[in-house]
Amino acid sequence: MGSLIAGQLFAGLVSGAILVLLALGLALIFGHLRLVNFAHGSFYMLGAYVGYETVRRGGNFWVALVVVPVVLGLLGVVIERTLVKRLYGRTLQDLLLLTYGMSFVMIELVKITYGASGIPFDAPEALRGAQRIGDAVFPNYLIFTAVAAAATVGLIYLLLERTDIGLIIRAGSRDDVMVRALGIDFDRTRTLVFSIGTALAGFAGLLVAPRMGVSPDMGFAVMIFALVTVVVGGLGSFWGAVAGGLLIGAVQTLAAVLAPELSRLVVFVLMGVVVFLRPRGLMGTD
Amino acid sequence: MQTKLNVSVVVVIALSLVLVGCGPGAATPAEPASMPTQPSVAEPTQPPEATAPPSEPTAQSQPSGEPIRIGAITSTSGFLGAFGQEQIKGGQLAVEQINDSGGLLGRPVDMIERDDKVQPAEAAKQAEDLIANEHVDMLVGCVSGANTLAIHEVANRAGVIYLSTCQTGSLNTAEGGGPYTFHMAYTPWMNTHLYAQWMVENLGDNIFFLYYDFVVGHETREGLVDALEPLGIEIAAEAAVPLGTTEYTSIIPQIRAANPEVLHYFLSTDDRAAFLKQATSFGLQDEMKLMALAADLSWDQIAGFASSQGDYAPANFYWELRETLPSAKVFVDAFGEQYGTPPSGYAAYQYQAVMAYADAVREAGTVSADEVAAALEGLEFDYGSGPSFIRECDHQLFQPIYITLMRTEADAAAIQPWPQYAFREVIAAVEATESVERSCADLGFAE
Repeated sequence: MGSLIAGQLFAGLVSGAILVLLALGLALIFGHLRLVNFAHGSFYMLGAYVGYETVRRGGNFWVALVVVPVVLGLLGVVIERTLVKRLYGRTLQDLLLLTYGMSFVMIELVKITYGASGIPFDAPEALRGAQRIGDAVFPNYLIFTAVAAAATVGLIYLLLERTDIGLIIRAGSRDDVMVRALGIDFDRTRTLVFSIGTALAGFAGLLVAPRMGVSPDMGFAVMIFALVTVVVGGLGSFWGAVAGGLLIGAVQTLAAVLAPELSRLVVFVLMGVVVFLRPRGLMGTD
Repeated sequence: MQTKLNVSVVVVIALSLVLVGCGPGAATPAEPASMPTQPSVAEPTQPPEATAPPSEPTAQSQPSGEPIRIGAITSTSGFLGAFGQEQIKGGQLAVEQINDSGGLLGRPVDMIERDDKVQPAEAAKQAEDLIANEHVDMLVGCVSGANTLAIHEVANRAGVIYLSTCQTGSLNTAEGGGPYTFHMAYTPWMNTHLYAQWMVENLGDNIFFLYYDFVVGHETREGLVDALEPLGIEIAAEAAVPLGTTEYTSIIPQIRAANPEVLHYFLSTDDRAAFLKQATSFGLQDEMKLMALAADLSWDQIAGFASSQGDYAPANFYWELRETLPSAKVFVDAFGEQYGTPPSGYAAYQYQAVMAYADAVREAGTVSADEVAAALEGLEFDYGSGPSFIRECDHQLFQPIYITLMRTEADAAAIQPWPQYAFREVIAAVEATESVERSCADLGFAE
């Protein structure tokens, strides 16, 4: 039983790591743009398809690890400059509707191009197989996913805490008026933050593709859990996204072992408890 | 402000959960895409005579006059769209062959296609329109079981023949069926009774069953339990998952802990592909045999070679039957010439349904529903899946089942003319007899 739980916990933390990447993107975008990006799941989906295309066109998975965040980041730049920027200052509902509509447009465009069914996408040969410790099995690809996610979170942390641009991003999240008053081009930082968010979402989509396949609707359901993560962790909070994602992943998979009949509910119960007791989230601030 | 926003996001999540049930990412409200029917066939030592396509018509036998209209309603868009499009191809091929041989009763045959968008209400609406405005003589098709029930209701009210080509357990009962509806696909009960003995004898009797927590999933479980009972076996452990599940890392450790000989699973399309990828990453195939409920070329294309190694599955049709079954060769070669790809089980369903209808019309000498229905009852044919017949009492198709095993990509490279589609080899066949389905009395029909 111990090894079963150990294996389960590891798998849950890896699932949670994907949620961390998604929630981090959402947190950055909200913190700086005051926008809940409902198209985030579609950027996640596009990351998987860009990865598929990269491999199909003669690249490989390792090349895709670089190509996908770059392409999704550039796409984020285009979308922020042409669409999102026009709605700054409007109501929350307007921005939600824009991103919600964008998500459907992206899904339908992918269906027109690739069809509505999924397409195969395999892990590279070097990441197949598993490590065994006692009765517990730790797939190599899950280990890689955990490492890649942790490295990405670390890079984002360093960007935010150790660079000038990170300082501007953090300052802008607190007081954009003051940042503008200091002569900093706040519009450019907003574009940058949005593109970092979309790049993170796309990277997460690439990481899950060899495990869950690539399909047009893959972002729709994960978006719900990403939103649950930011609610539990605290919208706009870096460490809230990290803690929330890992907590959700661990709780969900442990529940599947200890109380399978409750595993589909437990995440939403947790969210309800957090909202009731601490509405700003575990690490959010008012 | 953040508190207020957090609560707003919770509201959005709640709305999203509702939309997942009916948005573009939603699974069909009824059940997953139906599996191709699986005929049960014994060792195929004597392949039956091929049913050749009609010969080229002479100038004198060109069909003429008012067309006989077939309404084909299936899901050609949405997440089941690829399977519905395969059905349309199969039906179109049958119509072309019928017309090339002089039509039906000297009249040309037209097939009118409609997309039910994986929504029962849309399926019913299209059926009503085809009957009332296009005056179709017959309806055919479906990918979703919920949609087939909707079409059946409309067809039977209107007294129009309907050949359903997706799997459901609801159409061949006295209560659920009707005089004009024929179920040209396996029921979940039949499916399990066809392959269960082979599975136990060849793979093992300690079985973990993973299935959809939905109507067809539970019907399948019920059939499997009944099929295993005469063998003295019970399902050792099981897990039910919702439609649309793509994360199985919480279930795989449970499967491993149960230590079964056979992991038998009922998952389809993208869910199945995700499960196989994750099962492969955990090395499940090294610890136990995997056997799916059904196989289809369309599903294997989604999963790919790498993650499906060692996967057994029954299939009513797989294109490599062309090597052993003359009727399959006729169908596969014609389909390949027409479309450049081999047919899937979905295409085979529709092709056989249209060809069987044509046989019945010729026998009846009319397109009148009552006469054609009478001709369909007890009809025997072989249009690519082996010896098939329609049982009189419940209008249920009986057809052989073929056990398949996934190949490696390296082995598939040698299979011509379509190595990229040579996912499975047929390793056994199970004969179809009435014993694999409940008796007419059990289904509520008078003896």
